[in-house]
Amino acid sequence: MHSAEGFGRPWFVRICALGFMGLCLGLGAWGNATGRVGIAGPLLDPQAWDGRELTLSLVEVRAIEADSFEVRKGAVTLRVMGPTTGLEVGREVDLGGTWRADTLSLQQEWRTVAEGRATKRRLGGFGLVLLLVVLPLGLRWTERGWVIRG
Amino acid sequence: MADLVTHLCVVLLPGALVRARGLVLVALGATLPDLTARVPPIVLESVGQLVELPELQGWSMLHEPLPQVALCVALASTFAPEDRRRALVCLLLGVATHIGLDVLQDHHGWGYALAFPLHWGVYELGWIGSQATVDWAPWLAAATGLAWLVRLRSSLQGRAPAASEPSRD
Repeated sequence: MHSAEGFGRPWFVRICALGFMGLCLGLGAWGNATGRVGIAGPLLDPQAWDGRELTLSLVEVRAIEADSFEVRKGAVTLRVMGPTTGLEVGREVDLGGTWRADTLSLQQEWRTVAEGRATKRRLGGFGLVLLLVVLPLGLRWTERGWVIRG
Repeated sequence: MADLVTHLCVVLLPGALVRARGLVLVALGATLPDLTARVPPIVLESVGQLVELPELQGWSMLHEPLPQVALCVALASTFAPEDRRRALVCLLLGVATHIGLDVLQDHHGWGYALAFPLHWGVYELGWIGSQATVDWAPWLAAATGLAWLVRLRSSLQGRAPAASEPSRD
């Protein structure tokens, strides 16, 4: 019989919940590898994507050449043909264009540099510190588990 | 995704106006999607520069609502029995504020798979830019800090008369 507080068998609940998260992680990895999510689709089946409009959001510039550059999202790297002025390695950009199967690259039509990514990372660090400061104010550990203060 | 400071302030700013037991858990919930989906790849990438690791993709899917519900359930199960339900509700509320704020953003169609793993389709409202909250964060943080200072001051003032009340002995 389940206890009045729910979670009849906490360890079982924990295993099921974490197992479900593991399943989601595995599905996500599979989705990325098969192009179901992420940007790998055009590389996996270039002909099917030939001539299609493709938009990339927050991809990191990894290498810059005279008339092309490489962007990366996760483990996938794509070549983009187009002007490189104003680009820097490590910056993140949003861009759009047409996929070309013959060159296995994206012909860039527009691009915007995602300003503020470095600030966002710093804010992330600050947020983590803030969280670590406030957590002990509201929680304490007991033999029966975490207890909410107040 | 919005920045972590904005996510925390969205919870802590109104939290200064109410006396809510478990507010810290709402704040934790508001950071959970990023803690589970963004922090591990950053850590693994840093470690990967030192040791060769197989690249595991798919972390971003842990940001979606259903995996987050599972995580909240797992975390709530670590609480003392009388606090589990409250912990779960608070964590879920925090996660809801996080995903609600993120969905407002525009990622040029690369939104959030809100029903993953049941459905892979992505959705976003696209009302604000993906970097928009970076400009708000300092102001929100200042407003939150101020609100909590006012609250602490008023609660200290509320205690003061009781503390200075003359003894009846």
